[in-house]
Amino acid sequence: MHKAILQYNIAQLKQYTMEKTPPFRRLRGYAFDPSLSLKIDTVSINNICYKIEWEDLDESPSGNGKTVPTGEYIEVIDCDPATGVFYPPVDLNDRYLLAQDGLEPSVSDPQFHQQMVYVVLMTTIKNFEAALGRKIQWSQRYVPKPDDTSKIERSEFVARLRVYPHALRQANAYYDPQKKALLFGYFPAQRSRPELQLPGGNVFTCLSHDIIAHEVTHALLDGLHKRYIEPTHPDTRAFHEAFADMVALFQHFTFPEVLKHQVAKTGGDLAAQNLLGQLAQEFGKAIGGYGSLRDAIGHTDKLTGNWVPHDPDPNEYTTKMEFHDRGAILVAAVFDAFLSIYKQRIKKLLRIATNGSGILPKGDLHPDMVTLLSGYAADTASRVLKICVRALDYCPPIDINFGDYLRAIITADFDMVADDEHNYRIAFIEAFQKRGIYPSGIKSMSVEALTYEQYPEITLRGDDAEIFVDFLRRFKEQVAYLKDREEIHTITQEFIRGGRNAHMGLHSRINVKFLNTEVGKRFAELTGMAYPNTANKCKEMGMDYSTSSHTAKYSVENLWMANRVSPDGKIINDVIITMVQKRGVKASIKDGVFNIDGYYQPSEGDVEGGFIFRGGCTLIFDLDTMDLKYAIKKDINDKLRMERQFRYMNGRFKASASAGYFDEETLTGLSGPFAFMHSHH
Amino acid sequence: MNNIDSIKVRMYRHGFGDCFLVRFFAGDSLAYKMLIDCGLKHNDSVDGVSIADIVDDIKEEIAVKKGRKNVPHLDVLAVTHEHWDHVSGFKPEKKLFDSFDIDNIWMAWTEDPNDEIAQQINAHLKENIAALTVAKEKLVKETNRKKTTGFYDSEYSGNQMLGISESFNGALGAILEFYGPLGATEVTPSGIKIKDNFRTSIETQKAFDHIKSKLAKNKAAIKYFTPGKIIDVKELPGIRIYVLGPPKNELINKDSPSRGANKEVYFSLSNASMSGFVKGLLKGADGIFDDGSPFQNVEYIDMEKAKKHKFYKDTYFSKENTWRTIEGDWLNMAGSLALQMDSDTNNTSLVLAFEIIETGKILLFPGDAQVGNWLSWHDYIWQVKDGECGKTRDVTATDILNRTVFYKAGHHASHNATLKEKGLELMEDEDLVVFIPEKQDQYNGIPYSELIDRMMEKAKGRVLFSADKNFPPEDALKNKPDSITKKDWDKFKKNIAVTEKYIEYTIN
Repeated sequence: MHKAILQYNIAQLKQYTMEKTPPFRRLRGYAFDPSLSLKIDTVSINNICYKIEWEDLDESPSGNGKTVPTGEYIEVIDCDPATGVFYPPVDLNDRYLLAQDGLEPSVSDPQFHQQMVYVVLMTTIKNFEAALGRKIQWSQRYVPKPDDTSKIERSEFVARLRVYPHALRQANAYYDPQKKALLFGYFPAQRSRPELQLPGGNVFTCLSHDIIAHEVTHALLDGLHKRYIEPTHPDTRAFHEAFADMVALFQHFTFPEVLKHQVAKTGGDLAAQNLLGQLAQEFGKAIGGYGSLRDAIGHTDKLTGNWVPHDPDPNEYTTKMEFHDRGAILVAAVFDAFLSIYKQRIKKLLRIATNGSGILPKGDLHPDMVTLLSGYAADTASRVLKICVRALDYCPPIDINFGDYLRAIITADFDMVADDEHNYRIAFIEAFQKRGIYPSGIKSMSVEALTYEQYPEITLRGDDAEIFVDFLRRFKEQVAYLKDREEIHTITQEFIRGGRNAHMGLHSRINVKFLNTEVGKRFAELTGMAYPNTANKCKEMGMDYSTSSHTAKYSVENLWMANRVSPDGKIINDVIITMVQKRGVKASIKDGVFNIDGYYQPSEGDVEGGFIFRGGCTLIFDLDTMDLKYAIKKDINDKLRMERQFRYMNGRFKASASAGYFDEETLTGLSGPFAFMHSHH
Repeated sequence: MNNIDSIKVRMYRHGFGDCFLVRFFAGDSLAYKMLIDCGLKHNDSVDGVSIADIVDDIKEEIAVKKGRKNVPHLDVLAVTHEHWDHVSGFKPEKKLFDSFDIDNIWMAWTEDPNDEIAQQINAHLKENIAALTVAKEKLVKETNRKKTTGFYDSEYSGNQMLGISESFNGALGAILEFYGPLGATEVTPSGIKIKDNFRTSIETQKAFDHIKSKLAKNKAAIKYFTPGKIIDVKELPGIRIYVLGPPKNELINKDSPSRGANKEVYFSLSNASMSGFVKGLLKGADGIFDDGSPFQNVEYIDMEKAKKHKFYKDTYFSKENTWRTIEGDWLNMAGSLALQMDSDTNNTSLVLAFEIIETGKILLFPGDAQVGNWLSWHDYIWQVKDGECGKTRDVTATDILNRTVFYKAGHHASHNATLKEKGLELMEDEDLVVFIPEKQDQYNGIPYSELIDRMMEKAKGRVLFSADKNFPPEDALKNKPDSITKKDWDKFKKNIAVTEKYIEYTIN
């Protein structure tokens, strides 16, 4: 009898203890990457300990109680096709590893590589989720119709991103949007570069924090705005590169240990504070290709040996058309904003430290000073990173350009922090302005002009708009407490298309009846899309007709619920909807003048002299007031934008078409647009 | 002997390839005969104008009486570089040139068997050719595998992906064809293997060897030239021959700069990024770990065995996951390898400029030199003496380009074999004429249309193609372009002769 009770109690105890998982998992990794030049003496802080949210890992199918590095978001499978082998998965729950914060960083142990990749990916993913206020999703997989692979039958949920740490033998790493996978390459260390002293002689891109963070950001951005891969504007692809680089860069600066050592070293000229810029560049240089985006930040003066920031040239934005050159301008602008915010914040500290003179006494900095300064730098980096990521929710779903992104940053920040006492927003505006980046259609570069119009004149209350408010209310109820990403995805799809929980999908709610009401008409205007109500009118305008909603076809691309907490404790609940519509436009250029020759329906397929033009919007609804807070649109009737896209696409393709044995279409088609962006520059 | 005062350049119209007969005249008497290259792209042909046909034509023009027979005689055979479309005519089996009496053979220093650096470059190139062949065959195999397992039918845009893969594989094959028909590999039960007797890949090497061994009268007749020199030929009074390339620099062994103008100048001998890739391709079919393998003494699972291992069976090899497999992705690097090899070989081109001293007119034959080779010309200064008691003065590449009146388009008018700013733009002479030995639709990007446009502008319409149906010389000569004066056009037409087999231009 006692034995039975004892066993029962033990069982209860076991259950109790098993449910309590630790909040964090600590894993060692490189802050930089092992092959980075050690010119700036960063040995002591190269090995850091990352701290990420604890998640349960999948169990090994061998049933031996071990785990494999597969969690909710990523699946690390160590396949090395060039060598023809797999390297066994690392068991991160092994008790010896748990006791030591993971494996010892080692270039020659593939299992540590898996660990490094896992921890940096999870760090980046969690930073995104914190900024966005919701769980991230990877971009969906298209499944084609069985008889025609060029037509999509449906989209499938992709639960986990595949990660291959040793996939390629080249100095490259990329995100493959078709395979929803990250492929990392490795290559032999170059003999002639003495800085790269590696045991074993290979350089692994999977061991570079910056490269890992950069590549997964492409995947994360693809999951939010999948149309940013389409090169409709010289900025779109450049944006992908620049954004990925920015995330890697600022995430790096959020590790105070990384900065402390360097700040201590300056010992003197605090006013210049260019060390951060110099560091930023060093991070990107190891492999070569990645450094190019940061060359725009500054350079080391050959005579003085000091790092000096580049003078921004407003002409570059109009003249530099190539992805990397253009992306560099954006990275430099955001970094510039970061630096000025940082310098503002440490002003008081400097005053104290120098007794108002601005000149420090010779010798080492006081260690407390070092801690404070690096703390400020890390904190500022964290906030800038958050703003940059959050701004994505305030961007249009298509045809992104740098001006749009600036407005998104300002608006996103305004939404979170009404009173900008540290002038973060001014810092951004100034930095963009210095580089000639001006959003179109606004009258001035003031914060007010740049912020998107808040609560545009439309009231969703009243019978006509009940259909909308009902939608938002139901959505909030269904999704608010869901944690499982697949469930979130399924419910969201129902709300878009219609289903049991949604009652009516968004498509059915935005029907002709709604659009004919006062509210509906205003709504249509704000979305930037067109809703001709007969099949003929649709044909005239070059749009496909939907028999179910009795108007032109459009797609609801995203539907998200975001929960954010502002720095002053305000809780913000938003629903974000993005919608996109397309039309076929026939155009030509005669004697340098752009002409629209007519429209055609996209379902007709390829048409001579025709191209697909898209319009759409990002709508942000305030769940607390049930009002439309922002409507950020790209108008489908905007003829200027049509011209810009046409000129750009024609100029680009003509130039590269006959430039070499492999044309751009072939290279892009092989492994996606990111595979060759890094390798041959 | 009288000074040479006119040069006839005959471009043969046998298809995509170079074959130029250059004859030097003093008045009416033929003083010197030179042949620059004789080759045709693999599998290319022009009806009625085969290599054998043009060699017959060459024989007629250069026959001299030797005793009672007529023997074809060349003072110089210049071979610019080791690409099939420049040397296929010398294929030993064809015996086309065996009856020729050749006094001198001119080659670039990169062919000199006694030059250490040249040997390194050649060894490196050959290794790359073998690797590229293996890569192409593996890619073809992979594409076929995906086709038969229905991969393309179940992927969105699958048809497009298949088309792209086939186009890529085709382009790789086309680049490999510059090296001639290859017999480097064979398919064995265990996979693709490099042939055991694979010494140097190619027919091209055999053709080259044939030139060096059989065709040269004696070893001394083969000359290897380094840039920055002037070739002294006593049979050519009144003519100066400058050697502009290929570049020779001590930095060849250093790793090539990854960016910037300097990137192009150095041969990619130690481009580490590629070597891991190359080693992976060249490993034996039986071995797993090769020199490029990233780890030593670590646990691993052979891919074949992994197919039976539960973890990999469920995650990687399962049917639901085949769309995410990556066995073939590492091979896509073959494109970069191909481009680099092609560029390296082209950059070994011997570059010659012939100057008629009295008028200062220059004829430029750059072989297939690409950007790096061109840029290096500006590193040299040639010292010349005007007459026996004249002063010495310096001549630069800019000077040479300024006075070019005949330009044989580099690499069949591709985009990176005619340098713009420091090349074509410096060709300022009013009498500039351009010849392009090329045939339509052989390679993507050849001829490069923007380049053709600019050449037409610079040469005021005097640009002639050997075998491109889109630019027949007969048509080009019909209408006087607006940009040229009647006088100059008539003078040009008078000095041009077009037949089915060749186009000849006389410079005097």
